[in-house]
Formats: sequence, structure tokens, C-alpha cells
Amino acid sequence: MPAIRFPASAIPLLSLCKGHGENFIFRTYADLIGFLAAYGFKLSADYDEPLPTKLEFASNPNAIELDIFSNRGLYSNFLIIAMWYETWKAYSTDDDLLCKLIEKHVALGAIHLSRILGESDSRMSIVELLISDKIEPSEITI
Amino acid sequence: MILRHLTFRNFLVFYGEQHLTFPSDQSENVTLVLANNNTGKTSIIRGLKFLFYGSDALALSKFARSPSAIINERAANEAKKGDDIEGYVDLTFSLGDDIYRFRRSVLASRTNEGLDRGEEILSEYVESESGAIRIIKDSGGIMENRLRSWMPRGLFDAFYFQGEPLDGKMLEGVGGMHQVLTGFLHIDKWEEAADALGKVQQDYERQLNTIAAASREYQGKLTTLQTTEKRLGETKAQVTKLTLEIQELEAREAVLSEELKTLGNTDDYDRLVQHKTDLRSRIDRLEADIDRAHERLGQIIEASQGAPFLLSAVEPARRVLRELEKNNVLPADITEGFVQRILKEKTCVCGRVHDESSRQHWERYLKTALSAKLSHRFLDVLNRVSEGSKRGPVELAAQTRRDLTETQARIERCKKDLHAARQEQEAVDEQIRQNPHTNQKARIAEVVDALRTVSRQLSDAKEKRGSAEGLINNLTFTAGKLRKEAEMAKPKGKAAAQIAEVERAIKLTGELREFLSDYRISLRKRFHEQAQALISALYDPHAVDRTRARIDPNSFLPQIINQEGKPVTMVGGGQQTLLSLAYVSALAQLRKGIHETMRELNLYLGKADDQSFMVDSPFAATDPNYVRAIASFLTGGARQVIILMARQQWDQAAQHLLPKASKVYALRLHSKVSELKNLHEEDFDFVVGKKTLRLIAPAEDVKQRYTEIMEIA
Repeated sequence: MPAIRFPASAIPLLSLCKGHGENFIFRTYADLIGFLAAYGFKLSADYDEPLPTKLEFASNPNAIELDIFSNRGLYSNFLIIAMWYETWKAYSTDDDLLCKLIEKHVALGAIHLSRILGESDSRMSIVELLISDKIEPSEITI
Repeated sequence: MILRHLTFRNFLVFYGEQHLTFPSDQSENVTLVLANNNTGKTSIIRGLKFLFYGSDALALSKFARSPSAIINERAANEAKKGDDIEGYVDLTFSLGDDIYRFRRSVLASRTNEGLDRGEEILSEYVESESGAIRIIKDSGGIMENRLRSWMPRGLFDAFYFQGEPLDGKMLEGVGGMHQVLTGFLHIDKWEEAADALGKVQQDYERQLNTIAAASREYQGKLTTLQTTEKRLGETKAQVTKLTLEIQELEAREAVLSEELKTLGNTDDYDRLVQHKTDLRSRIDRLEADIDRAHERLGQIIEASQGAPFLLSAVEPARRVLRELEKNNVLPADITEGFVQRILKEKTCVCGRVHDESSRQHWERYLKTALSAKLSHRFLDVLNRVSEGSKRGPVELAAQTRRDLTETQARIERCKKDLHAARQEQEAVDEQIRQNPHTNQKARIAEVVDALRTVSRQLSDAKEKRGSAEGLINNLTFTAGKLRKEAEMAKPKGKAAAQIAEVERAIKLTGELREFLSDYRISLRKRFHEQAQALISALYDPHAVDRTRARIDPNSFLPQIINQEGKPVTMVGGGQQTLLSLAYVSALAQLRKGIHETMRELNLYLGKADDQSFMVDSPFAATDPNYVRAIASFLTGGARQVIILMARQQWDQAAQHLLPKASKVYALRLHSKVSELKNLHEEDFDFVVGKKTLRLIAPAEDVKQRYTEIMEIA
């Protein structure tokens, strides 16, 4: 069963999930992953941030099966991301490949967001990211 | 006491015979006496004091041991050796409908060393029906006592005061006040009367026992009855005592409650505390709103699924999907799985056996066909990225931004309100810190404690009185029964008539004692109520600063309170004078009222009437507002007023007093020119209407200065 693993770079963001902090935003890890994937996509697509090539994954939380994303209405977003690539057909017909692509976006989004959130109030910073059309990408070393 | 005529002969500064006539009608009651300092104003008051109490009452050392010292110096010097010379004060006054004339004189002889000690004589001038005047000299001090009962010594300084009335003997403290009031209201006489009635009753009872001795049975019954009635009387006395005690305690309770009310008049403080509580609630509410809004932000972020970040992907996705649609791949009418199943079969869907051509055709199709699952997924994406889709990233991004902006604005509003509320809270905290009530907690605790004690004492006293009243009922019943039995055993004939007479006397005496007892109980309360009503009527309308006069229910001393009912401690000279005048006037009216009430009850306490006032320089240290208020009071609030005016107060008070004055006198000083070297004649000028009066008559031939009384209007 194809699944998306939890990138190690997203570990600092676990505090945004229910069960890890009082002021959580995401009720499930899948929601966090979906959000990070979208953010990673923006960084990559709009700001040419390179997707990480070598990824490390956390053993906990476990990998999340793709069906779970489908159930939470997030799979479509993954396909939309995939369709941005010329090789979209391969991603859309091969779930494992799609999962790997999404994992890279999640990792990129996590690295960037962890850095931002380390500096200020998490919630308001995320709000700013969502409202603003522009993101000032920092130099990120992946 | 209303003054009518006052004559001085060779008295102090007044040389020869000098007269003053005072208007005494209710409507014409104001007399002005204008005089410069040290020219005889105070001598007029001393003249009255001399008349009422003799030369001993003139508290000047040179008069202490020699009555003849009252005789005018010029007159004394003009007398030849061996001559007798007389000085006197002659006063005609009215008390109710009766007119009295008294003269107190000193007759002295001129010796080589000056005047001898002299003899002081008090005489009454009585006019007979024929108009003849009979002079009656005092004998055995009877006349002295009459005069002193009409004008008690303790009250003289209050009615004829020289300057600072409340500083006088009358108001030197609660104890002194009580003593004066006791005399003033004749409370001591009431107690004397009650004691005397007790003695009379005992005498009657002794008489009754003597008569009853004739019958052993009757005597036995009578003794038991008298014992019971004695006990009944004692118990009633106990009830009276307890009732007075209860009145005292109730008065004390009222004072404490009043103080507590004043201390606890915490409208401002309560308002501030309430405001603080409201602000705290508002702050809590705003903080909760902010927390909820933050929570809402989290919900919006989660619900956004990061859609605003995917906007760049929407158009490429649309392109891909349009391409698929264009190539009739999407939606997949025959899916990849279906094609693979056909290729596994020997025959095609058309029934013919597969050949190379059909297989190639199907395989070509297979390269473009979508799986059913993928078709569904693409269709879902298509739905989302289509123009106008409500579920796609475009709309979701827009909705997210709207929700976030709105929630952010709400948070900002709440924060702004919170900041304002916190600032207001700090200001209120400061006001609470500065509110006097915050520092009055200790006093409030003391008063509350005292109030509790008084309430407990009051409750005890009432309980004791209740028990005593119960005992009275029992004893009354027993006494009634014994009375009937004694009646049955009563001797007949002449003795019976004697017994009936004595019993009636005993009954009457007992009723009178009970009446006095009851009246004493209500007196204190009535006195306070009436004094308060009178002083309020006399002071309050004249107080220019809207203060009010209050009589303390315990001490009966007057005080000034502000509009909030709090005592005013910083009282100016004018306010003090006005309060004193109102208080003395209220007491005088009250005294007259008590006399009238007692007269209606056939109890004669001596004569008392409306009271005249003589005030010396009442406008000292007074601001113009109080000059007007005092003038207005004097000319409207008092029955008869004689105002002695000094030169320096005349200018500011003249306009208020002159229109009301029925008589105006002036004291002109006759003096050697050489004595005036440090003075200017103009200093003695009084402007009266359009005239200027110069109240000095310098002359070289005058050996000793003296004062002449002139009627000028």
C-alpha cells in the first residue's frame, strides 16, 4: 500500500499537531503533511527552491497511507501538484512515485516553515504566509 | 425677656443719666448702637450683667472688691468730700404680658482717698393701679433669686454675648452643656418635684395606717397591699430607668449608625469597585474572544489545506485535463482494465476472433486509456480546478484569505479594546487607592464593633424592661385583688370617710408621679427633635454655602454638616457666629415652649418669654456672604435684637442692617484733645444714610473722658 513517510525535517512541526501541544492547528498528521506539501510546492514552483534529493524519515509518526489523504480530500491536491510536472502521467499512474514526489515537497515545506516558526508566533506566521501573495524565501540549504 | 428701657446713671463710661429705649414689637425689633472701640459698647452689656447679678459678676479686677468702682470717674471726681454719689443701672423689661422694672445702684461717699466701698442696692419699681410708683428694696435675696431665675447666669453670655459665643461657658463641653441644659430645661426641678411627691405619698400612707390601726383585719390587708404597691412602684421606677437607658442607647445607636452611614457612604468607592469588576469581566471576555479567534485561525489554516500555495498549479492542471478531455481520454469511456480483459480473450467484443490488427488497435488504445480509479481522480481534480468551482484551490484560497483577514481584524479589535480596558483598570485602581474609604476600614470596623455592643446592650435593656413590665402586670393584678379585700375589711362610719379621703390623695399623688416619670422619658427625645427642627429652620436658609446645622443627639451640641451629611471641621468665623445665633435662638424658643407646656399642666417653672439678644460686633472675621447671612438672621430670625456695631464692621454691614433698624443710637466720646494725639478725628466717622456722624467731641475742658448716648434715628 503506497504511503507517505514523515520527513525528519517535519519533526519540529509536530507541535502544530493535536497531541503535541495545546495550541495545535492540525488534528491529524495527514493534515500537516498535506499543508506542508502545498507550501513546499509553492516554494519550488514559484521561488525555484530545489526539492531535496536526499531525505530522511522519522520512524514515528509512521508513514501515512495514501487512502487516508483521499479520505481527507487531500489526494486531489497531490494530483494537482503532480500535474504541474511534465512527468505528471508517471506520477498520476504510479502512487509510489507520487508519494515520493509529495514527500520531497513536504520536506521542503517543513524545512522552510520550521525556520520561520522558530522565530515567531507560529499561528500568526502561518496566517501571514497564507494571506500574503509573496513569500520571501530565505536561503535554504537542503 | 424683652428689653424696653435701659438707663445708666454714672455707670462706668456713662456720665450723668443716659437712656436707651428698645423697640419691642415683633415687626420693629432691631436696635443699632454705633460706637468706636473703647467708647462704651461693652459697658452696655456690663450694665445688664450688673443689674442681674451685681458688681461681683463684673469680671474685672478693679471691680472685684468695691461696688463703688462702677461709678463713673468724672462724676466721682466732681463730687466733694462728704458728698454721696450714686451710680445705677435701671432696666424695664417684659416677660409675657407682665412688665418689670428693676434698678441696681451703688451709693458711695467721697472721702479723701476717693470713693468709699459703697453699698449695692437692688430695688423693684412697681406701678400701682393709680399710676403711683412704689419702690421695693430687696430683702433676703428674694429679688435676686427672681432675677436669676428669669435670666439664669449660665445663659447670660449666650443671650448677651461679646464676640465669640460658642467659646463661652454655655458650650465649654458636653458635661457643661448638660449641666446648663438641666437648669435651662428645669430637669433638676422635675426630679425635685418627683421626690417631693414621693414624700407626700409616704405621709399619706402613714396617716392611712394610723386610721387603719382600729381594725386588725383591715390593717393586715392594708399592710400587704402597701407592700405590693411599694414593690409595684419600685418596678415602675425600674421600668422608667430602663426606658431612659434605652433612649440613651438608641441615641448612641443612632449616632453610630449615622457615622457608619457617613463612613460607609461609599457611593464613589462602590462605584469604582463595581467599575473595576465590570472592567475585569470585560477584560476576561476580550481575552476569551482573542483565544477563540486564535483557535479559529488554526481551524482556518487546517481547512485551507494549503490551497493558497497551490494557485500556481491550477492552470497547468487545467491544461493537462483539457488535453485529456480533448483526446477523449477523460472521462474514460473504456478503461484500461476493460481493454486488458478484451486482449486476454480469443474473440474481440465484436465476436470475431482476435487478429493482429485488432490486437494492435486495442493496444494503441490501451496506451491512452485511463484506469477507472485514475479517471475518477482526474474527474475529481477537474471538478476542483474548473472555473467557478466551490471546492477547488482558487475558491478555497480566496475563502481562506477572507476568513483569515476577518479573524485577524477581530483579534486586532479585541486587542485594542483590551489595551484600553487595561489602561482604564489601572486608572480605576489608582482612584481606589486614593479613595478615602480605602483608609477608613479601621474606623468602620471600630464603629461596627461599637454598634454591635450598643445593640447588645439595647437588646438586654429591652429584655429586662419586658420582664419588669410582666412583673408590673402581675403586681397590678395582685394589688387590685388586695385592694378589693381591703375594701371589704375597711372600717365603717367616720373612719371610712377619712380613709376614702386619704386614699384619694394617695391616688392623685401616684398619678402625678407617673406623669412626671413619663414626661421625663419623652423629654429627651422631644428636646432633640425640637432643637433640630428649630436650628434647621434658623440656620439652614441663611447658610450661603448650603451647609446644614445638626444637633448631636447625645451631647446636644450643634455642628455644621455638608450636603453629604459629613461634619464640616473647618468653620469660618461667620459660619460659627451664624450657628451660635441659631442655636441660642433655638434654645430660647424651646425653653419658652417647655414653660408653656408645663403651665398647661399647672406646673409653674418660672417665667420665660421670647428672648432678646444683644450682640457685640458680630461681624468680626466674617466674609461678605456671611455678613449678609448674619444680618438677615438677626433682623428676621430673632425676636428682639440689639446690635452693637464697631466702626470697622459698619461699612460692610450698614447696607444690610440700616433698612431693618427701628432705632439707631450712637455713643459719642467726650475726650481731651491731648488724648487723641495718636488718633484722627476721621476715625470716628460713621456714615449713616447720607449723613456722616463724628462720634467724638474733643474738648479741652474735659478732665476725664466719658460717653454720651445719642439717639440719631
